[in-house]
Amino acid sequence: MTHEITTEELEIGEAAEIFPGVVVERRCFLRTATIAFGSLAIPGLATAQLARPGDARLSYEEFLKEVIPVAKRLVSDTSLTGQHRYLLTLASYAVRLADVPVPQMRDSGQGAGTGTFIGANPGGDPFIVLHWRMEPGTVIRAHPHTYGNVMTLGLEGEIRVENFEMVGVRDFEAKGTFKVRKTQSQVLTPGQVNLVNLERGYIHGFQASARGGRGLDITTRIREKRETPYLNLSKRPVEIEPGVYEASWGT
Amino acid sequence: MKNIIETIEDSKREIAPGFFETRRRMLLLPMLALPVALGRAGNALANQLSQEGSMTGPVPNDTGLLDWESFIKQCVPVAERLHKDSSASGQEAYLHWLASMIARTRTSNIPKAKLGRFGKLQPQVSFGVSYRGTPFFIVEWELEPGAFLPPHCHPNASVCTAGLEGEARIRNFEIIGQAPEFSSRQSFLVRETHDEIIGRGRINTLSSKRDNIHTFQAGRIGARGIDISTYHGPDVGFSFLDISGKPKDSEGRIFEAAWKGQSV
Repeated sequence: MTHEITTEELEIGEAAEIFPGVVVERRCFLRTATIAFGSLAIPGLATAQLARPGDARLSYEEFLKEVIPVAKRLVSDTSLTGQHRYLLTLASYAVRLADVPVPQMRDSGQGAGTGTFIGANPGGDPFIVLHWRMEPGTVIRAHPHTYGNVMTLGLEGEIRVENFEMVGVRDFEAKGTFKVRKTQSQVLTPGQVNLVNLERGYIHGFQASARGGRGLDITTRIREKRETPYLNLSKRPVEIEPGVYEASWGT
Repeated sequence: MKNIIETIEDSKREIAPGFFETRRRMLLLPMLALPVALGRAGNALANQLSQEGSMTGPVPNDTGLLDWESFIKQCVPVAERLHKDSSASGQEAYLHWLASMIARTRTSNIPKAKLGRFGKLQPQVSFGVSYRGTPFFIVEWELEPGAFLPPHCHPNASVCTAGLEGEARIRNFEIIGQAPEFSSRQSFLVRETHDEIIGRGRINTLSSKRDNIHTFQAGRIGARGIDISTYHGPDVGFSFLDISGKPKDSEGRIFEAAWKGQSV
């Protein structure tokens, strides 16, 4: 459910509206680099920070302070395995997050109707932190991630997240129908994560429960930005056991 | 009440009095053994085949990954520290750390267990303990094509399941409300919380606080993988469950269930 942002295009300190009502600011590299190089200089420090004693929850600021140096170190490996490691490492920090301040939000523009909202929390680098909320019963339409991977974290309520992959070679410009496979259907509750690797489970859609839900999409752009279509999905699988559906791209 | 390891090892001895069976790998998953035998060329071929024809998607390239010794050396010290926090978020941090480490480990380098057939399941399911350490131990599993490992719980434990070969469907459930004791045959409700594909480079986790019941259904080519298991509380045994085929509440994915003991 992410609108990915090209923070690289911003000047340091420059803010941009990446979504109606959603403003991001590019932070000073030198400040975060100091932290990053500091941790690189001491082998094991990054992982040592991970191992906090007791049931210690991280504030949002603590989370950023701890995870950014590690994320910067891992983000350059954009292979399937590299992304997997990167996303799982982000997750190992994010699951310790206490609640995160709710930013100003606007309609997500990705809902099947009204009642889905999105905003951004400041400070992410190399990722951005999008904050979403879904009213009870609302739907975020399934869509592929073609240039930014995502670690989704549940903060409140309950959402069903489904991930799909195209069968055979990926083609985000395919005309007509093709087959997709549902690779995951998950109930996302507070403290749980769902991962979108650009090589695995790269199409996702959300269905809010009767309680609605709220969470974060920590999104990292690793490829050239491109237009993102929506996935039109057949109601029933064409092959039940492997969970294969007929689908097409739409707008 | 036996624990998982005791049950696995008993299963190896149960075949016949005084008769030990060691399952051979030669005939199982021959298509999947080919890339290993052919090394990198095989991996490249498997990658290409995956991209072009199969539904498994791309598979990880083993280049530049940790060997087993490095995995243990780097993973265990942090795992030991994280393991001290058995809260829900502590287990999540622990599991995702393990997952991030096993994701970057060369799968061909993970110690192979001596596998034994588990119970009387047909098609066969085999298990073996491939690593015993602190704080975790590793159980290797192998499912023949179409094999089904019935749902079972892991009380007070977390499990990080990593696929190595082939493909299986893995489903997780959580108990709704209070379940009766393992000895009871009284029914209770469970909710399906995960339904996903596990295969090479794919990971599924459960903790003592969530998704604690899981079940495996192998695909057409069978599957092999490992469970990295950790106790976060006392070992109180485990039980298999019968879960109804049809949900009681299809929208909520709620099913009726009953304990069925440790035999399958």
